[in-house]
Amino acid sequence: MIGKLKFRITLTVGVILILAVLAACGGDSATEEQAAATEAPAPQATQPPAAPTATTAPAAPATRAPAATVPQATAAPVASAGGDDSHYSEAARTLMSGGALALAEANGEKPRYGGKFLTSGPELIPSADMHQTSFGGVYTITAPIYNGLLATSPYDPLALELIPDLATSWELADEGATVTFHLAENVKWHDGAPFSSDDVKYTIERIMFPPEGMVSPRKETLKSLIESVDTPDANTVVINGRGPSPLVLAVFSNGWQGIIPRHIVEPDPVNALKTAAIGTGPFRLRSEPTTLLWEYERNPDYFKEGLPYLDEMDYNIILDQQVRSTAILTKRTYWNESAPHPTLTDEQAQALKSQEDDIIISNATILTESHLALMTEREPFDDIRVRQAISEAIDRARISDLAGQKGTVGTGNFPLGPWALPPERQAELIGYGPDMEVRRENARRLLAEYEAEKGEIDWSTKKLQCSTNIAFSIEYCQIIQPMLKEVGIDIELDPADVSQTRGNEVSGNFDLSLLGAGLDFDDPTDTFGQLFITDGGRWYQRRSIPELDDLYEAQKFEPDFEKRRELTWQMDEIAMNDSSYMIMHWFLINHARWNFVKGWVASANIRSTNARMEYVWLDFPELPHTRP
Amino acid sequence: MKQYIARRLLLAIPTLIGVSLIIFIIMAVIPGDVAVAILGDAANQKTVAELREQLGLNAPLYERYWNWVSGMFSGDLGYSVFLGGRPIADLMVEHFPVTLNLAVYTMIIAVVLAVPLGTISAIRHNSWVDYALRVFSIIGLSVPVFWLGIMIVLFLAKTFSWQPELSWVSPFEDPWGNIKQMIWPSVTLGYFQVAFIARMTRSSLLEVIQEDYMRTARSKGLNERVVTVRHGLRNAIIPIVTIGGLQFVALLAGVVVTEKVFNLAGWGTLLVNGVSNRDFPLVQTIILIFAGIVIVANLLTDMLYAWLDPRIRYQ
Repeated sequence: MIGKLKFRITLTVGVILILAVLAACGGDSATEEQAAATEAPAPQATQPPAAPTATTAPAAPATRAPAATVPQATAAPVASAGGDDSHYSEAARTLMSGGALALAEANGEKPRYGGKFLTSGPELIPSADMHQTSFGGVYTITAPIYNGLLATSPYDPLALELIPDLATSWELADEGATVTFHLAENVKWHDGAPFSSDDVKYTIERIMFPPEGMVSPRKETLKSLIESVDTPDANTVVINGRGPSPLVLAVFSNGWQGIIPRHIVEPDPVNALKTAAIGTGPFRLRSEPTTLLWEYERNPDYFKEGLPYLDEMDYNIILDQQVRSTAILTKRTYWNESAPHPTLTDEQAQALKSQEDDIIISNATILTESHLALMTEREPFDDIRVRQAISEAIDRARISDLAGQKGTVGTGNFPLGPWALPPERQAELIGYGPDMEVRRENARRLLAEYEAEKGEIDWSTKKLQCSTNIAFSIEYCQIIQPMLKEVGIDIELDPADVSQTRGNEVSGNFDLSLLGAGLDFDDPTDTFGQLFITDGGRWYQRRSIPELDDLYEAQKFEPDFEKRRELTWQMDEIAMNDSSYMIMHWFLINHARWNFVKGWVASANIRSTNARMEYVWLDFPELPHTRP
Repeated sequence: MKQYIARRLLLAIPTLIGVSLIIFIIMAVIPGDVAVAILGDAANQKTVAELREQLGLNAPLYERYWNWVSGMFSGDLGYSVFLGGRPIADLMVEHFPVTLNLAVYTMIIAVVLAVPLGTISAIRHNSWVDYALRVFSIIGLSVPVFWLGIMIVLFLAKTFSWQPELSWVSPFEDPWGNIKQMIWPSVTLGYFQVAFIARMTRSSLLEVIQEDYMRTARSKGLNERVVTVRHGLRNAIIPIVTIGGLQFVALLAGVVVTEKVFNLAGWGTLLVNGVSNRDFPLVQTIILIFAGIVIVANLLTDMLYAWLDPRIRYQ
């Protein structure tokens, strides 16, 4: 008992000290426009967990306190909160004490009420059931309708500061393995039915153990983290994690974990939500959605006082970027989308800015990578020398220089987060050395060694598949092709539609494949669990590395942040040197919006809850500062 | 005549079966997977396999073909596998007004402008008016529709900071709003149609003008307007009707590029998105319906001939 208390005190003092150091170092934040992540230096290995976030990430608005609590929420588990509130982010504390207006005020804003927001998205909506897909468009279009247990601060560019949503408070126990959520009271579904902890339990269990016929892309992530869900009463949910991991908490701030109504879904659990959208969220549907238009109106019974600020919203699906750009210019939409995607190139963004000064272009390096996957079950990619030769030949920084879609060079860990591999260790890796001539020479030597032993490689039979309807894929392929040629790898491009190329990645029917993958969390359990471990979610390369798998298991529930990070770095080095799934970039995306759009920042995390739109407001002079 | 119509309708059955087989086979053999399209970037072997099973994609081809065709015959157009299992009939009904609206406006522009322009060009052939109209027509035929559409959109946006509505405005709810929205895509499409039909009218009328009965009509003392319209144009109209009918059907079948440039959700957009997402039931059904429309439109055009020219009789 005394030991536990001591631990809590030590932790609290530690947090306060880190907060103080960060406040001293990072208080003078840049404005959002200056926050282009690519301009930021790479994180330093010797920095404490908080430092990379505070010094290298896109900075918050000037008036906001530095994201000091972020590392506690995401990089290291937190012990039981007990009676204190040290496990809450600054934003959460502000919200809990003063509500949404206080949060806005803390970020230098004085919201106006009302107005119709005009938004858009670039993708058709295959189904309104977000739990059955990873289609970004499904998330952004349904996000305003639902709530999760937690949300991410709309002012945090990294979307790591957790704030209350359906859960008004939460406590951590067992070093973060157990989380108790206390739910808001008197919450109603859009159809008037009461919400309770039963809905939360049903939602989580439906994702983890989907009914027959339902596809649940996120079930493995949840199953690897969560043992069981208890509901001691109608307003309390207890998540019993499998071990201490920051993800046990963070997973419930991910926009994809929207809580769904049991009474609607249970009668037809596979199909009920495909065409219906009933949540507790800030907006409800005003009319039956069509293929290209969803219309929303403010939920008058919303449980959060004063929210949302907007009265109405139209979400137009615009498939063509040129039309989207014109729509922004003519104010048919107020921005290009609510969750940034790599759709607006530098050139297009600058063209918009050059025509309208009042359009804000913001950049952020997002949790979406581009990769070159090699099919290791096929010759010669089963041999590490050939894979490494390919990796050595590719100048990743040059791709970003030449392509319209820019990116930040990084490894398997997001390069701007707390897990980023230190630059000096990165420079030691295959494919990341600073001298391209040396690397090319190494590539030629590796290929010569392979061919001396196994015979000449007939490159004319090998193909690099690229997706014709994914601009960066085609661009990057065209840039990589001559790079490979320089070391004697004369390979043909194999262009096809993404539904084919992704299908090929899934089925293993490819030689080399250049595509991208969006991730849910900047956490090695998610990134490596998806991309590198044996049988991972997107294990397209099919290369099993037992040593990496062991490290993955070892880090998963490691409570000591430093120890876990070292294990993560080792995994990263093994994966990058193995060169079967090469990270080309983490995308630097552009986002365009009119300057009257407030209460929103472009986020590194495309699954942030910013797409929920409840804090967004329109700075039109005719709109009042109080709800009429 | 009745026998002729019955025979044509009977012939439509094997034609439609042939079309259904061809499109089914094409959709079955082209690479790509709707399950991957639905799942997004998190698709993996396990989730794709589960979804394929759920969508019934693992059933044998003959079984899938039979299910589709028998459904069509019983009036069930099936369900879109990509768009959340929405009934294809609903989707077609949702998208049809846009297509019809665009086709009707375009044909109005085409007919109102093309026939008079072609007629003037023929009557004044080899004059400066004729040359000017021929240049106008050739430009209309040469300019890519997508380019013209983009130029119109950019011109409106740059000059007037204005762009047509992003979602369709019904002419019954807001007639002026509908005209404001649809006029530009109609002009974009209509320019080509005007050029095409005007040239057809001109050449057709030029042939007729040389005929003996035209000289007879003039020698009877009829004024030039009556000669041109009643004797000339009436006889020159048959190829124009044929072309006009086929163009209208082509417009109904979807004008993908124009719809995309103006963000209109018509049948063309529905079809192309269906192909991109490998939504095979949707694509198969739409193409089969297009084929049916073409057959019916051809039949109607043939019947129109007989009405326009009583000498034409079908056996």
